Amino acid sequence: MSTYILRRILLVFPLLLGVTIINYTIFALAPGDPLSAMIDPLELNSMTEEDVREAKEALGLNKPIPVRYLLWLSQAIRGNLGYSIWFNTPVFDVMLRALGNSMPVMIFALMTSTIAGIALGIVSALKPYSLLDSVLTTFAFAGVAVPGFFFALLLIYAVAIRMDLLPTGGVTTPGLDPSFGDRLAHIILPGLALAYETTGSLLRYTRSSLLEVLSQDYMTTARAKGLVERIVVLRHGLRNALLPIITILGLRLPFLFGGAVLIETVFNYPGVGLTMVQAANMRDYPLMMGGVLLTAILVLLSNLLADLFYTVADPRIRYEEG
Amino acid sequence: MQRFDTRNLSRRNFLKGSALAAAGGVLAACAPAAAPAGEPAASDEAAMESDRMGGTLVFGYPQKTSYQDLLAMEHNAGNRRYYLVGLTHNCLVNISADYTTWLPELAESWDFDGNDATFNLRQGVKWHDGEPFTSADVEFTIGRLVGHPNVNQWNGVRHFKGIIEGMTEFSEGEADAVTGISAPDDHTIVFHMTNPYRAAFLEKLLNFPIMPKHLLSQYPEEQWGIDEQGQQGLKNTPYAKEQGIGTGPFKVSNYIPDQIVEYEPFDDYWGGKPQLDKLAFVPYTDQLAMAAAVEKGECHIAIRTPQSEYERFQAMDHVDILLNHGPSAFAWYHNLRYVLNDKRVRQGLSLALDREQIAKDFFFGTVEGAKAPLWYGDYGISPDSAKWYEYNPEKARQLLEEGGWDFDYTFRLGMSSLSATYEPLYAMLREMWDAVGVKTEFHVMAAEYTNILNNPPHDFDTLFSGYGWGLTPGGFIHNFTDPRWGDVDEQGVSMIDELILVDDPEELREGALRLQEYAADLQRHCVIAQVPGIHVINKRVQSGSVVPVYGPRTNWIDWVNVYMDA
Repeated sequence: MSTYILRRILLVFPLLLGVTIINYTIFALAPGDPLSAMIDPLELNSMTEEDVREAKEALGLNKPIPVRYLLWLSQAIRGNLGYSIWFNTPVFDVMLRALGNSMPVMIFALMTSTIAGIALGIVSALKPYSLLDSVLTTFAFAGVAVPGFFFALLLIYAVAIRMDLLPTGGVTTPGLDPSFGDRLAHIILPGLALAYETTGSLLRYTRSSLLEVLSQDYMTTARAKGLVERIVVLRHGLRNALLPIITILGLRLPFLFGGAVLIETVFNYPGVGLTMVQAANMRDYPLMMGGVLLTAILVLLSNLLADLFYTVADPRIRYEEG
Repeated sequence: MQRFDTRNLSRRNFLKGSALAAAGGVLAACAPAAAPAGEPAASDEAAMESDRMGGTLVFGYPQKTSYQDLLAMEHNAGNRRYYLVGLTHNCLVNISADYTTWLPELAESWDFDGNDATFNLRQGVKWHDGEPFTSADVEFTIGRLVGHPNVNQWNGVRHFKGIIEGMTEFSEGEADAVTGISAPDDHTIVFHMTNPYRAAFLEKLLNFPIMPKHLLSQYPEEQWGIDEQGQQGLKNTPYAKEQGIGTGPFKVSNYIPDQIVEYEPFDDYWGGKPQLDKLAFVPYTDQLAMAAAVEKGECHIAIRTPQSEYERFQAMDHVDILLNHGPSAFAWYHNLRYVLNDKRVRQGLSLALDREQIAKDFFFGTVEGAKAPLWYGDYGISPDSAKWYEYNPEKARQLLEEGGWDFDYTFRLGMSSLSATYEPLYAMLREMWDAVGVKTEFHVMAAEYTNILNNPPHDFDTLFSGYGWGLTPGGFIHNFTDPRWGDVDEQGVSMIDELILVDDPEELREGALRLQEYAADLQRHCVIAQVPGIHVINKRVQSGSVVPVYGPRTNWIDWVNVYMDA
């Protein structure tokens, strides 16, 4: 097992290398540069060609793409992701700050969607083709079909404005002393908006997987042994139905990051998603690379975690050595 | 085969541990940052200041991107420059919100004598750290910081090049100091100018908040410029990233880029301690998010809200709407090198636009269609005598024909992007030109906008852009020409050269109007509509004057007396 984990971790490096090469090239070939994004159009008239050339040179934008990439890589492997051109701050610090805002929302969304998706999926599977099942199925399809940002707007209108229960956005309430409750209040709505789609997917996967398991012979055996239905469903049924669900969960983290781009914008929530949008707008290559690297690492780690959870869910799964 | 070791970690425990870790993650992430030791909580502070009206005012503004620092020396148009810096810093002079009256700020009075301008500085002014403000700070800011060769050359210094003696030489590294600034004593500063500028020079000063010499001079000048990481040294200083110390009514208490800037009142502000307990500036990437915060009452003053939300705000009982448009407009800048050499063609293109309809349908009636650079009431000028371009498609077609317009030619409309916000406007403009037989196509430059504009010749015929003019007749006149997109020809430039030195306000107004008429006749740029300034103010905001504007350094909000009604 430990060898397997080590091998998987070692595999991360060439994968990351590939990801960074591809992304750096795409960013560098895209039209525009940080300079063109930095300058207010009203300032344009004061800049001569010489000004532009000097400014590009100062920002290191006049070097060939491979040279720029190698310079970036040589620093990145030493833990220096460079400076954000726009924030004028180390990329690591910018991403850390953004991640500090995003993680509570991500974790909240992942926990909420996992608990709700699996629980509702079980209920749906236990009452197949009932009215309740139809309602839950509609709920699940709506989650998959309705864009996250639209659901976010609905939440803002209904929960924040009409019911006046939660804030419309932001990380904290300006002017208030920092408190756990205030912080939590600000993550609930974006968290729910992010969680809805995953909840719908998980509900459907759990339902279908559990329905399949419930019809297996060993479930009949379990009942024949006289076990109560709760034990039969949760211990014998759900565990066997978990494998595809774990796969889905492992893949949700990158989706959450993707969804956060819009959700964080709607909620004016300065997390990783919003930071990446700004980095792209401002052609802030170092920051974009930092964001890509962070997301890639999280994706690879989440896949590794999903593999580890397989062994927990199903004792028959063993990772061979050698 | 290596088995999963269950002796130390059972599956049950593993799952429990994972769940606990996840829950712990949320709890830890939500945990508030510890308040700095020794600082009272906001509620305690409010209690101590019971004699003040108090309250926390949240100010929202649209901002797509982060601003990097609290250093206020750059002349970048934008919210940070126009709003945030005005809280923490002062300029030498200020101007009334209606742009008609010059007001003293750090300078109590000023005199012009030939090419010299002498400013008598306010006494007893303190920086936020308690140090006294003196003429050395002004000399340092204008004479050292703004024009220093190591500091960005496209910001700031261009305003003083050729105006203050020796500024050009200093900024180009040919001189060690600016010769045209002197400080006879701690409270007097003298500028020696190349010409007897008056209002135009005062307007230049509006762009430059005075910086503390004692704080910024501690950073070696050789480190002010861009380092090997591509970062500007001055922007990487604690001053720029944390302190933002100035002489203004508020001092920075908390700054998280792209998230919030929080301020507390400055006890020793020369204009009196502000009434508010706290002030928070919140940038909104999405204007709809800002509108929601306004509706909920979380954001008390929202500036430059989208015109699409105008009706929504009108339906809210708890807010007042203030229309106060800044001194800028949307306009087409014609590229005279191509098909627009004939004045009649340019006039024809202008007459083809129904600006009333644009104002009604695209701007939701929040602004008036613009036919000339100045608006009614600006600088007290009546524009009745200016040449106006009322919608007249027949006359437009006639002028286009007389000017030799090739109706088979496709007119290329240059623009930075086809944003969803402005797409309906572009569609309306194209339809109107199409109605008089002018075929059009877009030339979208996207991120290459700046690069293309800086590398002529351009292959577009006209460019959609913002058009800004000065706040005063003097500034208007001085800002009227630029090297590439000149509004006027040589005759117009000679008019400007004469007017720029005029001191008499009435004469300046008349001169500005004459210039406007001349430029309107030339139609080198085709003004469409004023950039809307739709500001929304919660009725809890109480003060003598709340006049948000999008322009530098106006007394747009009475920051000392504004407070929140409980």
